[in-house]
Parts: sequence; C-alpha cells; structure tokens
Amino acid sequence: MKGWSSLRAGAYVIVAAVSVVGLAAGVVGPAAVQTHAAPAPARVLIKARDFLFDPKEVTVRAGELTFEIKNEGAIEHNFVIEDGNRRPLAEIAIIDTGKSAEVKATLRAGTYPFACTLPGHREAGMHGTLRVQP
Amino acid sequence: MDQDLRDEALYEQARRDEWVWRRAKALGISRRRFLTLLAAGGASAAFGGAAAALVRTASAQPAAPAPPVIVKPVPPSMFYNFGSNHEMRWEHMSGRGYLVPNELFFVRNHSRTPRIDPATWRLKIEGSGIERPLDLSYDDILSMPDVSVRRYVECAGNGRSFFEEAYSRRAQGTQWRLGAVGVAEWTGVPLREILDRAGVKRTAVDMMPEGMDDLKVRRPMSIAKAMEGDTLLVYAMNGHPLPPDHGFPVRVLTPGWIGVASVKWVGRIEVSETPIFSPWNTTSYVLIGPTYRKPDDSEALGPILSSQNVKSALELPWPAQLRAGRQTIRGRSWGPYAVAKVEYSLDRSVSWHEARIRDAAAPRAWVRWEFQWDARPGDYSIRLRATDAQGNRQPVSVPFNEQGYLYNAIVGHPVTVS
Repeated sequence: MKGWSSLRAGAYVIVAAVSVVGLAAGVVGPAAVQTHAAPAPARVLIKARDFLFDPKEVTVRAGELTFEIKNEGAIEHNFVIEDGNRRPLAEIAIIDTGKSAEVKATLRAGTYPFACTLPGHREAGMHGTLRVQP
Repeated sequence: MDQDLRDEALYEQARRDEWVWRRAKALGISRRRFLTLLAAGGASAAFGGAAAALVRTASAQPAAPAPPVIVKPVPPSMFYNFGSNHEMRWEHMSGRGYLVPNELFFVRNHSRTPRIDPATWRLKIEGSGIERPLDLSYDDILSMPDVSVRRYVECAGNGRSFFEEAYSRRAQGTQWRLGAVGVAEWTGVPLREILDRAGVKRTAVDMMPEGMDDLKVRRPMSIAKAMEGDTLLVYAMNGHPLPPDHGFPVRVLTPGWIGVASVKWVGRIEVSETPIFSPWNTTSYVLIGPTYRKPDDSEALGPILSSQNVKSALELPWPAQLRAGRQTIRGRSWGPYAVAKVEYSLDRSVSWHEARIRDAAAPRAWVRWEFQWDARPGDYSIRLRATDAQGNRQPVSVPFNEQGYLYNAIVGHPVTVS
C-alpha cells in the first residue's frame, strides 16, 4: 500500500505514510490508546467496526504520531483525520475487512475530527475526535 | 459451479428459466403465482426441469451461523472480494452472451444485504410533490404494467484503483479495476407510472428512494430523470425474481447514472417540491479535488455526480497470460450514449486500430467487440479507447478526486505472451 505526503499551508505540516501492518502480538494494546506523554512517536490503536470507532475520543501529545486502524467489521472502512472544513490531513484510503493499516501524521496542538468517509459511514456514527495537547 | 459457468451451461440455464417464466405468463399465470410456485418448488412439476434448476440455485445457499454479508455464493474464482463489495472477474465474460448472469453480477452494497419478507414489505410514496400518498404491496407492484430493458449498472467508483497508478495516491473507497459493471435485463414498473398514480405535481422537482439496508441509502434524483421511460422500479433481473444482493424485493433502475442512484431494497420514495439533499449527494458521490469547485447553490462538497461516462474492458484475466499465435481478443465498451467506435493499441498508444463491434449500438448498454491478434512472445500493455455517439472519447487522464469517481482514462491491461 503506497503512502502519500502532503504539505498544507498554514497551521499544519502533515507527513502521512500508510502501510499494512501485522496483527501479531507486539502492536500497541488498548491501554496505550489513551493519553501519550512520551516518548515520540506515539502509537494510537483504533478499532473500526460497523459503524463506529473504538475509542472515538483520543487524546495525544503533539508531535509525530502513528495511527494504526484495525478493521474488525464485516465490510470495508477507511480513516481520515480532517481539519475543520473536512479537508483530509492524513488518511488511510481503504482498510480491508480483518486487516490493519497505519498512517503517520505530525499534528500541532488542537482538536481534529476523524471519520470513515465511505458513503454513509460517518452519518451512521463512524466518527470521533482527536485532541492533540501541547 | 465455476466450471458450469465457464462452459456457459448455467448461462443457458438462465435463459431457459427466463423462457419458462415467459411461458407461464403466456398461460395466464401471474408472476405472483409463479414466484409462489418457485418458492414452494411446485414450478418444477408445472414447467419441467428448467424451473427445478432455478429452485436448486435458489436453495443452494450455505447455512451460516451469522447472517452473511452477501447472500449469493461469491467464490474467489469469479470475484475479487472487498467485503460487502465483490468485483466480477472479466475473464468469466469471455465467450458469453450479452447479459451478465445474476450469479456473476458484481455486488456493491453499502452494508449487509438485508433479508426482506415480500409478504410484509410495503412501498410508501409520500412528500410535498404528490397529491395522493400511496402505500403499495408487492402484489400491487407485480400487477402494474411492466417493462423490460437491457441496461448496464455500474458503480461510480469503477476503475478507482487506477487513480493510484496515475497519481501515486490512493483514492478513498473500494479499489475496483473495471469489473464493477454489468448488463442485465431488468423488468419492472416505470417509475412515472407510480408517480402518475400518486398525482405527481407539476411543481415537484426531486424524488428520493430510500433503501431498507442498515445505512438506509437515500440518493435523490430529479423528477425529469424519474419520469424517463427506462427509469424503473425493478422486481426481476434476467428473468428471475430480483436476488437479495441485487435489491429484492424491488430496486430502482436509473440507466446511465451512477450505480448508487439505482437504490436497492426500496421501502419509501419521497417526492418533493424543493431540492432534496442527503449524504449520498452532498458528502459522497460528489467530486472533491483541486480541479473541482464546490457548488454555490447546494450544501454539496463538490459537483454532484449523475451521469456515467464511456469505458472499456477486455474479457481477459488481470494480468493475462496468452499463448503466441493468431487469436481473437474480445472485450466490451459501454456508456450513457451508444458506443460508436472502439480502438485498441498494442504498442503503448503509438498506433491505434479499430476493433470490430459485434452488437447494434444502444445507449445505456454495452457493445461486444473483437480484434484479431497474431501475438508474438513478449510483455504487452493492451490499451483501449471507446468513442460514443456524442463524440466523447476515453481520455488520456482524469483529474484526481478524493473519493475516486468516474475514472475512465485509457488504462494498460498487462498481457504476457509466451
């Protein structure tokens, strides 16, 4: 799975790279989903289900972050971190059922919505909030 | 089952089943009665082995502890598996007739296929755009005047995976190649018949079918599109009751438009005197990208999709392995307008040659075509470009859009000859 990079004017500089990751032991457990103080880069594990994210509220420290999304649903999902105007800042375009994928992003302090942007999924409840603390 | 499909036996069986149904109709047996007979297995006694085979097909679904995402068998030899979406492998159309059998038809479902009991199912027609709200049963629909049309249905994202090849960036959504398309014979009631019965007002502008799936897919369309003669409320596909994965008991058919507008499992239709917006024409199925501008007159995030565009595909595996020597290469091209010309290139677009079209061209359908190739060993990239009756030709490139819709640029089909 290829990644993509994006430089956006203004407040954010985002470098995103997507790759499929294994499901073996060693990936970050649920306890690490909550606040990450250090060290960087922090890893955030989010489960995607039909049709919600678990957890849907995530708090992290600013810096380079790796988001690992595991699709535990019966259908495809994706993962997009957005700005306030629904423009993607980092994304995993598609995640097959039963698979995990990850994306890296460097985020400044602030609050960012994230969602599955496949048709109807956000409206069915598949969205959340990412809080990045200084 | 795979082998049966390869030698077209099942395809021929489908045609015989269709004939049985038409014969039942000629004998004065209602569709309702015929469907009941099929469900009970009694049609085999009444009509012989062809109907019995149909019953076997219908009852051959494997039992599963949890409801399956897709009901019909979707073996990997016939489909690429994308969860609730399954892409037809084009090589299975090689040597087939015009229509895609129901067993092979691609599936694009936004969520799990719902199971709906036709005995309790109702269709409600309501909203500010009609004089008389309707509440119709399955029998009511079957008793209305019917129309049968051969039209293609195609996902708006068919070809999406090629955005990544072109832009090194993956577009959001199922990574189809070119197999999210199919032509079937659809039988149903013209939507305008139903709208007329509901007393559609001259001031009505939009209508919106609503699906009974988990996400309640709701894709609005203009009244003008709804009133076209081939916009149908469909209850049969290739002569069979509409299969569950394709919208049973009824679905909409909007020929030439993106597939999502052909809403499945319809339970309600809203008709309105004001424009209707839903997630399916505001946040999805819109063009978002650097070359697309947000409309000023709606809440949509980009230009709203409606019409499809002209595309082509080879009836070959991807990638294909061929033996050297003279052979016939076949494929199909389709679009909202009749396909007028199909060209192919074997030398990476240096030279183009015209393929021989085998079918009478028709809008909102496809044509089969072929060309002869004296293939010598080596690696090739077969490129296709179709031109429709309006002069629209498949382009060299398509601007990137985030959700990956309407990719109809020329693509190279990898072929190794040995």
